[in-house]
Amino acid sequence: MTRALAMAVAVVTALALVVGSVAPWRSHQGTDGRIRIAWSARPQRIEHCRQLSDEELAGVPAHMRQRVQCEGRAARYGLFGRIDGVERLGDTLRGGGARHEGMIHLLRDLPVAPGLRRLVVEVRRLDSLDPVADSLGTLTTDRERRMEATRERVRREALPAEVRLDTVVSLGAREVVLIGYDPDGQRFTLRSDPKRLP
Amino acid sequence: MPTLACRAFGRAPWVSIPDTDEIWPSAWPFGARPRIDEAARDRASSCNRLYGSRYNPLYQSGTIAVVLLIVLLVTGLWLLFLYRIGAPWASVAALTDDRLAGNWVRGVHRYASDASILAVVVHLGRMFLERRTHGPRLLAWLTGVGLLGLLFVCGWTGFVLVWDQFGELLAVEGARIIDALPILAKPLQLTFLGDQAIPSAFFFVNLFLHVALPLGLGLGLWLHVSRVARPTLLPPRRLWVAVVVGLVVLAFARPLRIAPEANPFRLAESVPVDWFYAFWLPLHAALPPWGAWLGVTTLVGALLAVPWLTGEPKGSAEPSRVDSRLCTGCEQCAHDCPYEAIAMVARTDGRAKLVAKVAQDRCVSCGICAGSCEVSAVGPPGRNGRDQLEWAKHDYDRPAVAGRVVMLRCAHAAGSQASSSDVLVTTVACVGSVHPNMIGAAMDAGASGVVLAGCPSRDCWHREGPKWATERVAGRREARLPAGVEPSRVVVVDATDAGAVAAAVAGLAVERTAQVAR
Repeated sequence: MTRALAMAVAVVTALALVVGSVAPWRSHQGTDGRIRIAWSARPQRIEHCRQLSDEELAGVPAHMRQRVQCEGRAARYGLFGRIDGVERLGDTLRGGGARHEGMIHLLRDLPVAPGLRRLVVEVRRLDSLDPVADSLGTLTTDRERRMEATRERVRREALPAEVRLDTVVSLGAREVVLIGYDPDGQRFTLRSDPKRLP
Repeated sequence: MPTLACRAFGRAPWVSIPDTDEIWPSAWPFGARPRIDEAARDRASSCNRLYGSRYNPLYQSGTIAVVLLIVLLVTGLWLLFLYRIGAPWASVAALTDDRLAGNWVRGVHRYASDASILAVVVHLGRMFLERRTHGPRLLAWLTGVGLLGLLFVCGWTGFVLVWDQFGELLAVEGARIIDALPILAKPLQLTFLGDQAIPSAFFFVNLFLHVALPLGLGLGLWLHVSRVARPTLLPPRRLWVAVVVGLVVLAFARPLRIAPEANPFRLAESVPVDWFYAFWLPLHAALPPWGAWLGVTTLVGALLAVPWLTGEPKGSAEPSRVDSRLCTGCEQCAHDCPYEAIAMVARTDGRAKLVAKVAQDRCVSCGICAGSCEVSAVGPPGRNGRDQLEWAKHDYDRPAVAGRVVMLRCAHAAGSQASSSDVLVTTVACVGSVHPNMIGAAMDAGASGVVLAGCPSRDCWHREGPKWATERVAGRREARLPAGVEPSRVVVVDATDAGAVAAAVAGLAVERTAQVAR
């Protein structure tokens, strides 16, 4: 009797192990899909550059001498989103980091009922770029030219003043449509399940 | 057979044991304090009726966890050869389809990982309920909490390796928790949900963690048992064989299947979850990310604070002292000490041999050294062999003891006791601390026999009390029984085994009757 009971306890423990090991959990209730906006982009810098005079340069320690000095901050952007004409998104985007000078990282999930949906997502720069006050004149050294080229590249790759996506998507039950950002084309991209059934 | 019920004749004045009533801090606000430690020990000992104290899975929960860890290492090494970082789900799917060399190994690995959580949680719960969290067990408690955390992280990285729906869910929810802290420039969630493909470096790092963390478990385990001498790491052979065979049978009886591959473009309606590792998911889904941090830090903080919250038990006695004039340098106390608190050092008085020295910070005053010393040179103040003998000579007077069985019963052992005129019960701190001279004094006073009723051998409060007591009675270990005491009239039994105690008492009483008749 004791042996049978001991065996029964062991079997029940083993069964509990099996049951607890794989048991389903309904992680998403209902049939709603998601419009997921997930991308990273560099904000435009609002900066003022000027060339230091020879006298000013002489006052700077030798290892810190740079002819062109730039000061500024990263621009803020507004994020707006409408689905079937209904405002679903309205937010201000700032760069990451303590000084907000890093990349903008965005991740938003919008639950949407399945079907054909008109989707408008727009990002607009909120800060205007100040015109460059001083002409940088002739950049004489290689280093100065390289730094200016880098600044130019960063300006080119940054999120432009306005990016807009206006499209109609067909959203299946529990399907996710992903809105990303293509920095080369400076436009939003739309991706859905590649294995999606027709 | 006499009724097994003994009259507690009182506690020997030289006995100093923790007051088991005092489990909670003095500010316990809810009326009568629960005596959970005794209740837990009673419950654990009731499990002895099913499996015997030697194979009691509650006593063996820690060693079973070690066996499971070994099983995980062996099966994990095999699975490592079949796993491909470049195609995580496909490679696991392929080995899951391989019934001969893949599926059952993965099944054993999975079930062992779940069972290890179960074993560790049972072990932790038992230590908490039995209040084995402070003093010499403080380091074991703290490292044990750390080991449990490490075990969870190991498991999570293992599930993410598969990269099925559950792995993806764990990764995303884990990233959500990490992203609640402003430490990463780029939110980790974007790695799994963003518009870029998941870099294979992620799977490499994850695999590295899954392989490297068990090394941390090994180090933690070493620390976990470093405070004690001769740690028992493995359960008896029959038990570990049963555990391993049980896992293999389970893996064949319920073969593992693989969930659909992770797909960021699909919200799974239902995810097959391993609840041993992801019991927190529903709660986490309902809480903001900082709620998870609040919950985890509160729980971990509370677990780490347990030794201080429950306080040092009352009656914690002074550490042992050595009378260097008497010490013969035989080293027996150093061998017997369960906490490695005694070292043999060179003498300073010019005599040739070594002398025992007690490390005050390691000694827990269990008194086992007192029972080991032939010349009664070592022991806690007031409780060494000479003190015991003096007490016994004074209190074991012939009229009270003659013809009765003297039971020296461990104060920590579970089990109930009622009264009987056949048995004289004295409560001791540990049966291993009883000096054979005390047994001799009881026999000299006319006792029909002496029963040393201690903890189950695998669950001794001071780890090795019944083991040493048995060897001393059998004459295989110092200190030996005094001349004239028949070893057959001294019995060491498991106090939690009522039947064994009754049989021992009855046996000694019958033997005495036969002797008188002769």
